[in-house]
Amino acid sequence: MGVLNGVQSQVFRPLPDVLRAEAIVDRLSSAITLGLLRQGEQLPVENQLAVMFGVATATVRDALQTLREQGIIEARRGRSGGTFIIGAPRTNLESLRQRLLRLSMAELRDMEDEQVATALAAVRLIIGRAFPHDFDRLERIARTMGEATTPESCVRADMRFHSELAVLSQSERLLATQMRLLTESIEIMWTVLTVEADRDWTMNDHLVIVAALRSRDLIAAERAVREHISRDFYRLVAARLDVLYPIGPTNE
Amino acid sequence: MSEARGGLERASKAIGDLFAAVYDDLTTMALACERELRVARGTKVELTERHLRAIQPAAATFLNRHAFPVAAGIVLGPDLADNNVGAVEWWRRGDSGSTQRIVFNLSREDPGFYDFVTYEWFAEVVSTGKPAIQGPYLDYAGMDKYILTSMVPLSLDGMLIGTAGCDTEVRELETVIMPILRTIPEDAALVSKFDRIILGNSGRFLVGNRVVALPKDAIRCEIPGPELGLQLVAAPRARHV
Repeated sequence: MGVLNGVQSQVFRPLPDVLRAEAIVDRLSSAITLGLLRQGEQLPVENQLAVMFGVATATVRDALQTLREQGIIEARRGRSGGTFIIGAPRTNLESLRQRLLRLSMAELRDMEDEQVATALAAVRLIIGRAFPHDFDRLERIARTMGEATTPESCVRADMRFHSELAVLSQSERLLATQMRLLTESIEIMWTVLTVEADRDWTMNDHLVIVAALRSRDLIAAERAVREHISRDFYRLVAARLDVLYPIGPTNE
Repeated sequence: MSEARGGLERASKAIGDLFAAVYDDLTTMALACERELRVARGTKVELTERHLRAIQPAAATFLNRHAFPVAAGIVLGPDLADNNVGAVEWWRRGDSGSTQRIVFNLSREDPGFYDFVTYEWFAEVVSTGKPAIQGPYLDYAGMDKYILTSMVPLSLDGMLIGTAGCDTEVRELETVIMPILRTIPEDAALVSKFDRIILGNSGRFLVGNRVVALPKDAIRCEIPGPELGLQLVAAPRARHV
């Protein structure tokens, strides 16, 4: 790659340190909210984090400082010392809303495409691979949504259901893709959906998917998955447009 | 229904004005490119690829006049430049008013080969001599983005030698078209001549999808201005959830 063309030079422009530290705070906070990192768990040491995130140690230190100030992590001294997760991040509604507003129609549609593609691949594999007790387990997970009383608990229940779909597919790569997709969208989704109005149909959608999988009806499972994801994204699009362009067909 | 028709016509007119402004200036740019090429070629009979660099000011002028296109330039067919592979002289908007040249790979054996001759924006414009718009499409091995390409014919000494035009990112076009689409109270979308959605005003009509199975009471309205085959479609609002 001798001379960079216009697009390429944009790719390689340096990232500002502040943004990188913020990105690390966001990434770790999301992971804790979504249950990927649990309270009591120990974080890797600073040097290791710097290598993993591909940033300077000072940037990691800034990010950890912010998380400490928010009471999310604490440093413990001694032989079994280290940095531990001790608290849950407060949902930063404003930052999640901004993330939604920055997504264009094309990007939202593309996100939906990838989620649908991943979910369709998962249901196909599940029908071929899962055992009846797997469907019992999936149904139990789907029903936990019924007890969710806060947006945060809806996020966790939703997350559990969709990650379990990938788990039951038996594909590590599909699970990795699914986790990336959920991490970027599911918290945003529950800033738009509400517990009262949307929890029950979401759970119902999940149960319809379980029933179709249980009867190993591929066509019904595919339709249920597509309709569920498309309902979610219809709401995301409407919420974004209603804020950015208040007059319009989606606003009541 | 006539009220809906009136709203749709007003929106069509506003969108037509936007495209007319862009295509008028693309025609101006094509004429400026023709002048630059004639000067650069001098007394030589054939154009060489090196001569094409001379069109940069014309592309820069166009990009300075319009906020949403991301790149502009000219494209010559395989038999029209010295190297027999054609030429893409394409300039991207850089930081603070500068432009950067984009390199395209035109060697057929390479995996990153940019096979442009079959694209509508080239084949159609060269065969009809009329302006065209293509997209939205993923411009793989080109801009590598989700774009629309607008092209007008490019001539030299009375001969059609290629196309001149610009690329617009779908996300940028959204910022100018959506305010107009949102004035329509129905579910509505701007669609290409193949009924591919360019932009819709709700989650019902998503960019990139084809418009299929419209209800009977749906209405359509052609976008006036340059003949690109664009239309607005509108249908009584249907909630998804």
